[in-house]
Amino acid sequence: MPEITLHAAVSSVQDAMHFLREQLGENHEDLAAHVELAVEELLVNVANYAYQNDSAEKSKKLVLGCRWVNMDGHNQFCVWLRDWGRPFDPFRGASTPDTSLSVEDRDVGGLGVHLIKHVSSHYVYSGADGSNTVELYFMADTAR
Amino acid sequence: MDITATQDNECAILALSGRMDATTAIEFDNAAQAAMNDGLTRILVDMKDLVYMSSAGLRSLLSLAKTMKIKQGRLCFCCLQPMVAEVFRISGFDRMLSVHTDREAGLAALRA
Repeated sequence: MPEITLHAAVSSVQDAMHFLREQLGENHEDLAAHVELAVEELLVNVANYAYQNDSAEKSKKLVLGCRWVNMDGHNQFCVWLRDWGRPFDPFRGASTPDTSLSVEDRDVGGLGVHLIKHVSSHYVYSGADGSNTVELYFMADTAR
Repeated sequence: MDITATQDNECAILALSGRMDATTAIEFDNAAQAAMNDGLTRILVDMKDLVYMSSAGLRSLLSLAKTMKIKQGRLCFCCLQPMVAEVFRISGFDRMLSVHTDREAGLAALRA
């Protein structure tokens, strides 16, 4: 399974996007925008919060990987992202933003998880052995 | 992301191209601030060539929209491409902000 190890920093977004585009290829451009969006949101979360109490820059890493799976008879692109920061499930307790509010009443931020939930078909968190892993699944339009 | 800033009478036009993400949204913040520093309180953001936006971009847009409300200015958007339009729709920004199909309509709304 292809994977890439990245520094857990916002500046790694471009390397992550390049990796994803290589893996998806030209046949899945329809999927690429959703995958890239969701992975950026996850990666930025990890970069900003996972290693907050860890001063050793070198140890702040994350691994991004992907694979094609057949889930319930459907071809899906699975992306996973793992870090070794503090235990954190981004989906547990994440409030759903009220998207009907006006500019004055809306809070800035808090849309990352909301976007991930909308563009992925499934999202999974698991924490084990000192690591956090999020798996995201994206439904492919065409069979491979 | 590339930003081309121009002026049409009293309106600032910020034409964005490329990707507005966690690494580039700051460039938009700076361009909008520069327009406001020039005393312009009517801003049109043309997204004809913007192909990607994440929540970092939405954060910048909402921050600017709040600032414009305080300044009693006007902020409009036009020419959203499919990916950006979808992100707007999921987030409710398409209803919250003043979004137009083309630049002429956006400018007309700024001047209304």
